[in-house]
Parts: sequence; C-alpha cells; structure tokens
Amino acid sequence: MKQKSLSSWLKIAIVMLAVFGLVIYGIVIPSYGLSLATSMPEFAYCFWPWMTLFLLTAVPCYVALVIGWLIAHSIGQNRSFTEINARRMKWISNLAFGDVILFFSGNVMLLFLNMNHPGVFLLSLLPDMVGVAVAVCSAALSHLIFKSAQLQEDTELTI
Amino acid sequence: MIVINLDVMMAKRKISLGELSERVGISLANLSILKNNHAKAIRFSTLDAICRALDCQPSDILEYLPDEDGKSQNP
Repeated sequence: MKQKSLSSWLKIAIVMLAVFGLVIYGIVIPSYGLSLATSMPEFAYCFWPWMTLFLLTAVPCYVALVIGWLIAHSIGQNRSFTEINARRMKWISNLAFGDVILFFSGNVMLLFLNMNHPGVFLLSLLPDMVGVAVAVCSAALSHLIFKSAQLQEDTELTI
Repeated sequence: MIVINLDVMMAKRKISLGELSERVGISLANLSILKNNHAKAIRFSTLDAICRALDCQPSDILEYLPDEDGKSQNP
C-alpha cells in the first residue's frame, strides 16, 4: 500500500471512529441512560454522575484521534519515522493511561457513593484492560518509531 | 571528535563545492553536510572518490581532535 493511500485510509478510519464515538456518546449512552432512569426512577439520581463520567472519558479519546490524524498526515508526507511522531505516539499512550485511571477511579467513586453496582464495576474492568492494552502498544510503537527515526537519520547522514 | 577538513583541501586545490560534487558524484547537499561536519558516517567508496578528486590522503581530510570532557561531540 502506498504511503498516500495509507494516510488517506488512516484519516478515513479516524473520521469514522470520531463519528461512531459521537453517536455512542451523544445518542446511545444518553438515551439508554434516560430509558433506565424512566423505567427505574429510584436510580434516576445516578444518570448525571454516570453521564459526566462517560463524557469526561471521551475527551482523551478525541484528543488521541486528533493526534492520530497528525500522525496520518505526516505519513502521507513521507515523514513517518520522526521524533515528533514518536512523541505523538507517547502522548496517545499517556492519554490512554489517563483515561483508564479516570474511568477506574470514577467507577470506584460511584461505587462508594452507592451509584454503582459491584457487577457493573467488574464489567467496567474490561474497557480498562482495553485501555491498558492500547497504552502499552502505543508506548511500544513510540519506542520503535523513535529508534527508526534515529536509524533513518544515521542512514541519511551517511555520505 | 572527528573533524572533516574538506574546505581546507578544497581551498588548497582551488576547487569549488559544486565542481567537487560533480567529480565525486555526490549531491551538493550531501557534500555540504560532510563539509559542515553534520555527517554521521562516510562510506569508504565516498572517501576514495574524494581523495581521488582532491589528490590527497584520508588523513588530509579526516582529523581526530580529543574532546575536552571525554564525550564524543560527533553527531
């Protein structure tokens, strides 16, 4: 696959993820939450704390998508292996870790405030594990990109 | 650190960077990188071509200078 087409496909995937996220965070989660609050009014007070937690965890995801867009753009310009891309990937790793910490601590806090259920808390560990996997893979990719950038510089500056 | 004294030899042989790049077969940009000590490595074939073009020895172009703090200052 050529670099320009790879860059285009990456950008399309990022846009699709962004739109998908908007649908999930903007329509699916709020409507499901409202339907739960309507069918079980005793839990209606939990709607806004949970909604706030979900929306807060969406912010690092969208920041990561923006950074991913910048990486895709530099791939299209034949600047894949650069230190700046390594730093961007490190940023994505840090954002993923931060998101995991935010979601986990939010779940713990809501559990202590009687707005959560132990079963839901256990289920929430699944997206946490996905987030940790994304963070670790991004950190590894960051390291590989940095080493590749150094190798490329050595090669380019070998006369 | 290793210092490239290409400009010294070029001045002695009265040859410009453009003319040297044509004789050696390396782009002006790469030769400029070499001349300004930004290169990380040089191939033997390149050194051979430069020495042939300038009619000199490698020691005329490459010079070792000990670093003050013991650490390499080469890029």
